[in-house]
Amino acid sequence: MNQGYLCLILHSHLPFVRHPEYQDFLEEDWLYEAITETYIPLILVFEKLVNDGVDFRLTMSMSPPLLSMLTDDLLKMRYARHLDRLIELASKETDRTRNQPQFNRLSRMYLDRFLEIRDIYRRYEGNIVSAFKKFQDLGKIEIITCGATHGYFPLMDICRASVKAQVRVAVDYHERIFGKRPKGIWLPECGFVPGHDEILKEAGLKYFIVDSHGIFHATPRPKYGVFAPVYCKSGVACFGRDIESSKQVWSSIEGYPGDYFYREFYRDIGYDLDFNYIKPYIHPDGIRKNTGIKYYRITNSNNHKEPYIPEAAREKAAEHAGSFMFNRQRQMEYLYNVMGKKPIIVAPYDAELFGHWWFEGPQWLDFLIRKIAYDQDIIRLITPREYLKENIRNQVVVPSMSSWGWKGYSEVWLQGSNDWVYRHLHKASDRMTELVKLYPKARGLLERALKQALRELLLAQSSDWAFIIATGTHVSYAVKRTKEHLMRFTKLYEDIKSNQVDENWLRDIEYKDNIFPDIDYRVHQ
Amino acid sequence: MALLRNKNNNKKSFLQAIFSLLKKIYEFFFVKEFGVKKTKPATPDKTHYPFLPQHIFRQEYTPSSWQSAPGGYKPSAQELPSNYNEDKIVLQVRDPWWMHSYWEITQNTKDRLKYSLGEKYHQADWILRVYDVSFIIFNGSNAHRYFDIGVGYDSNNWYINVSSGSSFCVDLGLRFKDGTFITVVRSNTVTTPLDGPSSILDEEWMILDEEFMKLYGAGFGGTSPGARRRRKLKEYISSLGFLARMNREK
Repeated sequence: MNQGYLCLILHSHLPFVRHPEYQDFLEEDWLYEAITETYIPLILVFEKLVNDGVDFRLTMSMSPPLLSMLTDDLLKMRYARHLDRLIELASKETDRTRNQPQFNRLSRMYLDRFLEIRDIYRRYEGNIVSAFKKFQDLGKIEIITCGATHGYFPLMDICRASVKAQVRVAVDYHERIFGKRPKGIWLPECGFVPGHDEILKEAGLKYFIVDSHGIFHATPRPKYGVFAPVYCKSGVACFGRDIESSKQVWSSIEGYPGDYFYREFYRDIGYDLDFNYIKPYIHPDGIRKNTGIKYYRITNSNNHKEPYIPEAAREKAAEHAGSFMFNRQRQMEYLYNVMGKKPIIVAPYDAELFGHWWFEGPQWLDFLIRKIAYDQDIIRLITPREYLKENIRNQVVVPSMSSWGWKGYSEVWLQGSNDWVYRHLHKASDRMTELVKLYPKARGLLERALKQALRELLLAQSSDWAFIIATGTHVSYAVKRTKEHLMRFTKLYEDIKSNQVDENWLRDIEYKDNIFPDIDYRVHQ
Repeated sequence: MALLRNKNNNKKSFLQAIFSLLKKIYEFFFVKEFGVKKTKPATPDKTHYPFLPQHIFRQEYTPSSWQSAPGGYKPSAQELPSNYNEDKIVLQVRDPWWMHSYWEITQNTKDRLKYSLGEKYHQADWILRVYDVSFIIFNGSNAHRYFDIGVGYDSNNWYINVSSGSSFCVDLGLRFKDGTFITVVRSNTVTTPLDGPSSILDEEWMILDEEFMKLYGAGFGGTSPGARRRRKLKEYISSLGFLARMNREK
């Protein structure tokens, strides 16, 4: 009999970046890279597990902007084109490196890999969401939702109508894509404020996840810490992240991804190779960028890098999976004795860590799942929902306001560089509520304008913009996006109130910001 | 007459002296604590925050691969408005130790104040008065304590250093030379989170009604009673409020 449960959660999200008005748009690469390096490799792992009859459970949150982009025809087409070019580059590479055996085998590895990815992509007819849906239908993964545009709820608390809209639009959209309503939600950045659980309850959600201190600092003090869920007064369950299992995987210094045998992320041929050779595969304006073909391993902490050895890295991934499992087993045994019931260890990660940042991440996950299935019986994998079914009696507490961002609260999204956005976001939010009150039963052009107003508001609220502004590296795009959506919203607000909606202009932004086709603007109240 | 006026003035200044003495005593005991806190460094001490490492590490992975667009991306050349022509102040929590407030006072309001206060307006300071309103319903005068921050005429936002696990409300207003204060706008109330485990240990446990129904059904002998019987049970239970409450043990 097992002594406890491990709940792996992969949170996948990317901001909505879609620019039909440009032929080639650099930020759209975020999606393409994530598909090639994370989402399809995960599908490959799941497929092989299913084919081999390995039982597993995994929870994935898929944010609505990500789902929108993955199911968008324009972006699907552009991804196919991107992948074709990547395959062309990889095959050129096999030729270029023919006299360098160390690199030649790597270029072949990439070529095979990209061909396999294209194979998968074609097999699912470009709709990789349907692949995840398939694994959900098989009972292997549970897909939960997120905020409609990954808005950061704690800094929206002053206008809860927007928190409600973020939740309701997300849940509705999730149902549209997956055919059923989600049971759980990944609060964007794990940002929780007491009271928001009521909003989740109204939307039919049963559980959410917070960072460790959200539970540890809850009132009253939770008896089992983060190793058992708690109920909020509303009856919505709350799970807390386990610090230890997080650190082992997240930390680039003491964590697994920093191992010297793993692939080095920062040495990409897009930057390393001769400009004229690489020119067709970087941005048309000649701006170098990551191609995804990387030949070196981390090697050491300085700049000298050795070629990557796939077999050695694979060994490491297996070793690290074993180490992770061993540590969880000891943790479980200890907790089981102390608690007198089976603990749950919640280990959430950004999905993009697996494959995109940590190239061997999907391999590690594959090893871990197989080892858990065959090599031991202390741990079992579980989803939050299954754990709640098994443990119906839980302590009632008020989780503490918290996030999983730097320092554990809102500082990333509220600091000198980005605090100016909130005065505008809150104003727009108040105005949206006002519009809903004024026009509760709009039809025709007015309804279209109101729907688009809510889309623009939601897009402006995306926490990614404040995050990028705070990190300070590529601020201009995030600032432009914030302002652009806010100004589009403001024009819609003014046009609606003066009864002069400009249909041509509206059609243009409906085409550009085409997220949430069935949005119900009335949810914002 | 002259004598009388003099006498009045004396009386007034005597009262004022007593008042300012009382105020100093009050500030010494109650407000000083806040004064000290204000000088705390902006970054909370690492030792107070056990969850620091992995948050930093998480951050390492996200931003740098995101590259920005080349010059081609051109949004409309317009700018966001600098104000919305309203008197408003908003207070938000940043973390257990800091809040952020932003505000806007219309020119119209400033003009009205100038007109009604005359010379006093120019000698007054724009002040954020931060009230500790933990566990009370604030009525404007029942705060446990307060402290003032001079914010100047031109600023429109401020980070405020406070204590964890408490509720606050701020007034933006004018403080005059004689120490009197008038509120121009009042903010919403917010509560900072605890920065450590709660000292409240009372336990309350709960079984959700839907799960309780299953147990209740099982108690009648069948693990899967027919839909009709289940519906009947549900009606029965929901008509008896006390039963539904039973599953919330103290």
